[in-house]
Formats: sequence, C-alpha cells, structure tokens
Amino acid sequence: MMGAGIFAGDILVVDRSIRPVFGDIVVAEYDGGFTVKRLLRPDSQDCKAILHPENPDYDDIHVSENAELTIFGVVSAVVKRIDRSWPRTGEKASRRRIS
Amino acid sequence: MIGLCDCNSFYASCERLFRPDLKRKPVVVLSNNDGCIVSATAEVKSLGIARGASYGSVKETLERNGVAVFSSNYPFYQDISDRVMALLSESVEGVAPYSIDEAFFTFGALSQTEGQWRSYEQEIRRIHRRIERLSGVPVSIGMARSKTLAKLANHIGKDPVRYGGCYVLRPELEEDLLRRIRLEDVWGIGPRRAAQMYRYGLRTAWDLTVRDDRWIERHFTVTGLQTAWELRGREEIDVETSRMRTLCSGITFAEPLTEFETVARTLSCHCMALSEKLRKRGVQATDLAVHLFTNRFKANRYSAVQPQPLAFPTAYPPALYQAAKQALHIIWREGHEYAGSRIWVTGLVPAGQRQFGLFDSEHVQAELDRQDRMTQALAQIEHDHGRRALLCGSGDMKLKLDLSRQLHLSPRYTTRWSDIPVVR
Repeated sequence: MMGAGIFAGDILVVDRSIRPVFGDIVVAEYDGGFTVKRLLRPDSQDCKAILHPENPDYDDIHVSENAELTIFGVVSAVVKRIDRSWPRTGEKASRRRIS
Repeated sequence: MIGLCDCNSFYASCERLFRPDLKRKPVVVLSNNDGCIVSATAEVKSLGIARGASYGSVKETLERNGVAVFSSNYPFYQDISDRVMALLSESVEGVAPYSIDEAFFTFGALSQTEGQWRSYEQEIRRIHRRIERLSGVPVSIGMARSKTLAKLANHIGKDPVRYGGCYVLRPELEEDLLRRIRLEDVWGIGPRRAAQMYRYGLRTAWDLTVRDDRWIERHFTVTGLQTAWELRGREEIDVETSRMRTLCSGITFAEPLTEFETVARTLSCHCMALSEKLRKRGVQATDLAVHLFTNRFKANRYSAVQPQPLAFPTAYPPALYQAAKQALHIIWREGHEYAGSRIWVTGLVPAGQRQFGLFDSEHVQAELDRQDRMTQALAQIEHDHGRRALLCGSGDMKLKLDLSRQLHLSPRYTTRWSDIPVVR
C-alpha cells in the first residue's frame, strides 16, 4: 500500500463505525485472512468489488460476485513508528509486511 | 421495558473476531486449565457437545470435525465485553452488566398501540444491528416487562431464522409464552427448586404466577415470590443484589499436589484472581472460605471447607492470602493427593464504605488506606504485565507450578501492542 503512504510495520487505526464506500482504504476479510487495500468500484458484471493494492508490484484482486468479502473496517489513520526496533526483526517483521 | 443484551457463544465469538479463517468453522474455548469446554459455537453444539464437557472426553470428536480449540484468554474477552457494554450504553439507559457477556437495561414505554410497537421493535433491531456491526460479535436482545421475562424473551430471540437475534415480548403474549415454559427454564429457578415445585403440582411458569402470594412465600421463600412477581410482569429483582453474593475462584490441578507450599501457591493465585473480581465489581469481602479436595473417584477421599473471617472488608490480595493460608493450615492433612482448591469470598460490601469501629486507631485507617493504594498499584502491574505477573507469599516464584495449562492461547489482540492483528 506504498501508494497510499502505508508501509511495512505501520499501525493502522481501523474504524468499524464508518460505512465503507468505493475509494476508501479498508481492512477486508478475504480468502480467510485480513488484507488492507483500496476498495474500488467493480469493472465488470461478475465482479462485485476490486481490492487495489496501491503498489505496482502487486495485481488488483477482482472479487467475484459469489466470493465472500467482508469489510472489517475503514482505515482512518496511519501511525508511523520511527525507532529502529520497529518492525521487529525475523519472523515477526516479515509477518508485518504490508503489501 | 426491560432489556437483556447477551452475546452469543461469547468467548468463541471473540476468538473468531480476528480470525477470518474461522468464520465458518466450529470453535470451542476451554476453561482455565484447559479442563472443560466453557464456550462453543452453534456448530459444535450440533455435534452433541455441550458446555461443561471435559476436554479429554471430547478431544477426538473435536479433532475429527476440525473444531478450532482455544484456551481461555480472559483479558481479551473482557476488553471485547467492555466494547459491547459501551456500545449498549450509547443507545439505552440504565445498563447494568450482569456477567461478562450479558447486561440488563431499560428502554421505552410499557403500553403502546400496535403501530407504536412496530416502530419500537424496529428501534430495538436498529440498536441490535449497530452493536453487532461495531463490536463484531453476535448478540441477542430480549425485551419484556421484567428482568425474568426479558431473560425468556432473549432466549426466544436467539432463534436466528425466526427472530434474528431480537425479540420483544408484548404484555398480551406473556400468558401464552409462560404456559409453554418449564419451571427449570425460568431465571432464578434451579433444578432442585423446580423439582420441589413439580411436587406441589405446578407444571409451567404460568402455574406459579397464578398461585397465592402467601402460599408461594411459605413454600419457596421470598426469592420464589420475587420470581413469581417478575413473571407477572412486575420488576422486582435488583441486578446488583441478586448478582453474586459470593465470588469464587477454583481450579482442578493438572497433576495431584502433595506439598503444603505448592497448594498454598494455588491459593495465592486464587487471591490475585479474587482481588481482581472484587475490584471490578467495586466491592470488598468480609469473609472467605477455603475448599481443599482430593479426587472424588479415588479411594481415601478427602474434602474440607474452612471459613475464615477477614479483619476488615478488603480486596487486598495479601490480606486475602493471609486468611486463606490460616484456613489451609486448619484443614491440611498430610499424605493426601490433592486434586483441587477453591476460595470463596462472601459478605461483599461496596468498597469505600468501610465501617470503622469506635476503637480503631488512626493507625488502622492509615494501614487500610495503604492497602487500597497497594491494591491499585497491583492492578496496574497486572494490567501491564498480564495475569500472574505477581503472586502473594514468600514462595519461590520459579517453583514449577503447572497451574495454567494453556496450550491453545490466542494473542491479546486488543490489549497488547505486540499482539495487534496483522494485515497484509
């Protein structure tokens, strides 16, 4: 999500009370996991939304009409850590990488 | 009207909240010591596994059916509970939490026309949807004229297909419902009391409401009478007083214990837990009782309870521990293989309303103030460093005590920075 200013190790403030609209950056429950993406309007009939990674290295996810997609919440703020200890090294660090 | 908001399969629902992969999968949560099942989602219940089943006895069935198993993660559940209660308080008046996953509240008028009932029910549904959407855990809301009736309404509302988590019991429908409710399914009537009632020829909840007050009080005491009044739609039961006149902390040991010091350590854990429970409710205890027992299915069975008064009403762990240890000395018998221990605290009084005796010196008061401040400090340390960061007594902290077998513990997603959920 570099294009939206969100980098590995950043802390996201997620607001469940905001009703998501296309264009919002959201935390979505998709394919059994959480993902942060920009929610975009579908571009075809059999698609209900696009999850856009804001990163040229990754492709858009076209969520098909019958796939399960739940918006966990809308990202309302990003907190940046600027000390060296964050993100943690090793396994944790790689888990925290946000695409 | 009185409402009861209750979270469905609360602990299991919390475990699902930050695990999208478990959304459609059955989930169970185990008790303190991974001993038995304390919360299960609907899918698990349909496998014929009920709450209270021992983990060992159903382990295989759970594995075979791909059930996700969790140890209890109380700091996490408490935080989610706080969120649900806060959301409820934003919409309704007089929220009175009754347990970690349910709260009574008051909302709206009693007598209404058909059209007003409709909009009233819509309003309740709106509140219901809002709590579910913002908290992320499924809840049920029941509304009726009294708490006991609200409890029944809540149970009816749980039917997802017919009522979708909300049910408003209109006064004119009470009789019809109560005629179909068995006595033991009424809040406040236990199986024993129900059996007694059956012997007197009562069959349904309705049968109790039509009996004479004096007859009810003579046979079932004032508590039974209160229940009857509540079933008639009169609000009688006060949550604060009905809720737990005692608090208990107990554990079945992972392995039998034979050493006095080791068993004393388990009491120390109970004292820390009880102190937390007392503080949360804003009360202090005046008495405690220690229960020590061996496996009741084995020979040479031993079980003893020793009450011990506390010098002053207190929630201060060392004060509780001192009394508990005295009680333990009295009931300790060498040579037994102890299977578990338990402490009850009773005589709960609101904190800060301590009655000082005429002859209590300023010194005593100063000491009690110090204990209150210490209790606060301990609470802060536990909050920051987790449960069992502290224990009372002079025991060796390194003494291996496998009290909390928690092999399936989830992260503290919402209360610890290092544990916050990760997104990609």
